[in-house]
Amino acid sequence: MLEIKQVTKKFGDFIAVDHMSLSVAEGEIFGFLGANGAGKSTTINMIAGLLRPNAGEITILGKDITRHRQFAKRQIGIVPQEIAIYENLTAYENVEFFAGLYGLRGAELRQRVEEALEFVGLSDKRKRYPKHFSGGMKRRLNIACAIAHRPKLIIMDEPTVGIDPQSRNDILAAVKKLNDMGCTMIYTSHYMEEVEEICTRIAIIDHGKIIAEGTKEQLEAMITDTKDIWIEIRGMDQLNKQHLQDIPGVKAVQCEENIIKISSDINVNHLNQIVQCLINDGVEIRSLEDQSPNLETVFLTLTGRNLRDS
Amino acid sequence: MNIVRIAVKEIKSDFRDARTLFFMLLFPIVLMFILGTALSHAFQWTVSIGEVRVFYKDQTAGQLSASIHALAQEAKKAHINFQKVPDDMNGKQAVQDGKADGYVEIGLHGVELYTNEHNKVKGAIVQGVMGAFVGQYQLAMAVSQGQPGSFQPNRNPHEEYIQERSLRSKRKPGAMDYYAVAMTTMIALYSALPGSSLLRGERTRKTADRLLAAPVRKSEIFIGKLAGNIVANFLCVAVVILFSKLVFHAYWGRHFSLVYLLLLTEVVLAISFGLGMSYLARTEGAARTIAMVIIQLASFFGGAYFPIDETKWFAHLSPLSWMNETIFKMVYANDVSSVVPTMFLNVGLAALFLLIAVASVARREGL
Amino acid sequence: MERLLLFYKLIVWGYAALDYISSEQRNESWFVLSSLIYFCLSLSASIVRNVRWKKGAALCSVVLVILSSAYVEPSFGLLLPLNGYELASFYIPRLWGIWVVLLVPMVWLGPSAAKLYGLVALFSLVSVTTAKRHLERMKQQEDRLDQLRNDWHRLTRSVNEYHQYIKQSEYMLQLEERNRLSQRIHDQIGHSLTGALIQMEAAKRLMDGDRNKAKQLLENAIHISKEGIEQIRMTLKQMKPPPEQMGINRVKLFIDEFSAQHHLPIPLVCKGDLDVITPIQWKVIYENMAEALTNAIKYAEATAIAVEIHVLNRVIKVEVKDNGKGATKIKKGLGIIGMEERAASVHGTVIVDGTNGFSVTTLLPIHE
Repeated sequence: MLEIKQVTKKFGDFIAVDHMSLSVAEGEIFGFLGANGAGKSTTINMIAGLLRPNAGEITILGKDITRHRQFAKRQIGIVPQEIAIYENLTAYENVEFFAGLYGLRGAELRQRVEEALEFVGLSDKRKRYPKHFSGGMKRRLNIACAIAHRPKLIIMDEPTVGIDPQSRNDILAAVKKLNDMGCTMIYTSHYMEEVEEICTRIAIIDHGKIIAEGTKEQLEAMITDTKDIWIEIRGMDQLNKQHLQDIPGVKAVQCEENIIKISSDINVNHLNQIVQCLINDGVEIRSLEDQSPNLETVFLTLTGRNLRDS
Repeated sequence: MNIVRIAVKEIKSDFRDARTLFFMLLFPIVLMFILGTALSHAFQWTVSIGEVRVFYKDQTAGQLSASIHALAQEAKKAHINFQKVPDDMNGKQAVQDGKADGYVEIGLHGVELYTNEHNKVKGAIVQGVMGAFVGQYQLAMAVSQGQPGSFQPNRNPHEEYIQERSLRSKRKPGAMDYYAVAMTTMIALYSALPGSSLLRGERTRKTADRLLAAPVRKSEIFIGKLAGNIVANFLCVAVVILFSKLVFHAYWGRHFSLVYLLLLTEVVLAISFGLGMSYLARTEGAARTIAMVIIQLASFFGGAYFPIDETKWFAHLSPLSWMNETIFKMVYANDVSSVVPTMFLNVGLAALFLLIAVASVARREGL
Repeated sequence: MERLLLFYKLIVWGYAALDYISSEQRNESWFVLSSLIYFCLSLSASIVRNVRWKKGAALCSVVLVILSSAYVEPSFGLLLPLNGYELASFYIPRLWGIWVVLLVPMVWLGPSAAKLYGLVALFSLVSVTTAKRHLERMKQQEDRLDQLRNDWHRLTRSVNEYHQYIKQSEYMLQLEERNRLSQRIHDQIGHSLTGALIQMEAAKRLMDGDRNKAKQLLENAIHISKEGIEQIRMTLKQMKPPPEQMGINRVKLFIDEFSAQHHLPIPLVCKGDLDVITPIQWKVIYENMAEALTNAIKYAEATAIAVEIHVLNRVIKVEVKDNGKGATKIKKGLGIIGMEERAASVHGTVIVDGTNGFSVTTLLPIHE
């Protein structure tokens, strides 16, 4: 679907994207995870044809985007990081204007606009002006403007910045739904939970380079092969440690006062068995904490910095 | 097709913008009304002069005394006081000392008039009156010489010594007429403000990225936006003209379509100027400020708020003065000779600013 | 070059305009019109890329200048040398040819006008020519610089490859060494042990019969075994490399020396199983660390530098972090590029971050 080969983009002396290579297969939700200023938006802008790479090559469906500019642009729908809509046009007119630029006309245009508004749940607000919209509604309109021409590849650049949890869930659901409808998605975020939740493959980007790439599990496996579960219990004396150690996948069990720390193989899910075992021993479980690595810890371990504060 | 789409969108959003409506429609109409009524006296040219005192000596031994006397009587009505002075008094000295505004010596060979340099207006009045008097006298002489007896000296020959001439003739603009033109040309110049945010606005609104991501050429965006903006602003100007004509009864002359054409070129010039500025200045605020300052200076020196003496050199620097001059000539003197050069000047300058904008758009990534 | 020409034109035009303003007879609108057209032509000539359009614009400018000097304002003719130069440079390769062509109009001019024209023409020609020369030279030098840079890149790459080659050869040497070792064990220790064994076997048989003979044989076997052990000891002593040249010890040694030399505390933290690091990875780690430490001393003005070697599940992370002034904008120098290339030779990456102090992180994947 999309292939990036050794792409470099410089702004003066500053190297925003440094010999980046990656490929996105059809039907994927590909996540770009990185701190602000890591080069995510620059990469996306190059894919969308807004910036020209200083070196390297980008192809969409096998065609070079600099040579087949108009073709490439038609395949892509971009949801920019900031809300890019006209305040003086109604919701309907906004979508209609942008869809019209992709060559849609007449009845087809009207139908696609209706569909897009319906999709983001704004069809009852079609005659309203965006200045009366809430942040979440603007974000949704922002998405509608990008999908009315039915692009094959939809790029969303931080679509959930600064909105309420409900709208955020709506947007994540919309991303999945678009993916189910056959769109390949590229999703950037510096919220690791979102990326973990929806992306099928993730690239961790830092200082314009891809420092790790793969599924969530692959990325986590990079730094460790064990996960830790901490269980706070009452009735430690009733516990038979050996029972726990016999569960397949468990590597080590450590007991400290009323907390059991179990390290086990990252690829095995045996939480049920552990709980069952504890119940059988007649131990009361007070709380259970999953200490297994997530993308945040992966990023922290590899770069020595937090995703948010750098 | 994309050009039309972009232009239509531009017009639509311009007319929904309260700022546009205020600046381009309400502002000029209200200003026109205020200035047109409040400053109306400035266009009737009443200058209070007071009494004019003239000394005269008659040395013609009575030949003209009757006439002089009649003149004096007549002049009195107009507050011009003719006073005969004794022969031994030095009239010239009196004028020099400012005791009199004029001194007339009527001799056999003619009339000699002395006026005071320091009081030009009064001097001019005296001169005018005496000129008329002398003219009348010579005319009468000539006629009586030519056909003796048949000439009946004019019964009221002196009534025309002082002609009342109204400065408010039909061929000169009144306050409302003047401000209708001045405000319209000024408001056309204000199109530079939307022009300065034409493409930069898309950038700050972030919609530029969206436009560029669509399969549309940069040139289509540029032309579409420019055309839309020109049409929108020109429509505003047209509405202002119609309003002034129908409601304020301003006089716009017979070449109505030429007036429109001329204003269209001015709108093009203003928008191109704003656009050029937006690429020369670093920030949107700076571009707006520069455009605003230049508009204000041009309005001031171009006579938008009050008429400017055309002989002053700086009056010609403002595009408004070319425009106003051309329109006044066309409307009141029926003189269309300067229309074409003015239009060319506007379009030529516009082309220069557009070239700057095009060159910078072509060079940068994005708009 | 084009911008320079534009400036020259603007200067000459400014003179013409001043001249015009001070002259009595005025034809304002025409002057403004021809100036406008002239600007438009000059600007568009610098915008268009197509040479044919450039030629067209240059030709139009020349015609415009001639016409307006004839009908509007004679001083417009002063622009002729510049525009003529522009046009003629497309067609006449020789410099003196252009000069001669541009001085020809003097024939038709009056003496005073000719003087001024000649002066302006010569000045513009000299300045334009020198500017052109300089620009050409600059371009040449830039080209050469590019060439040098390319060469340099090529050379660093081949140096890196060479390093790899050395590594390979070292490995070959190791194999040979092992071969030699096994040969030696086989030849000497093997032989002596077998000899001892045979003697002992024989002693066992003779134990009951000829006790003295057996005793002698055992004596022999002990002697041979002693010799063998001595040989093993010798061989091992010869084979074993000095410990300070291996892996982590080499790194430690370097850090200690460096720390002492620059009077800086450089704590080293190691986490995880260091044994999975291959020699070639040790080499990359060692060199990158050395480079990063040198850079930190040179630029960072730091009071402490921390080195961390962390072996994770699938990657090795080596971080050199100082507490110095850092850098908001990182300009990639040769050092950083070198580190990147070294890391790339073992499929790794380098992250350089200057937001909080300066840190260089080398990430190397572990292959199983």
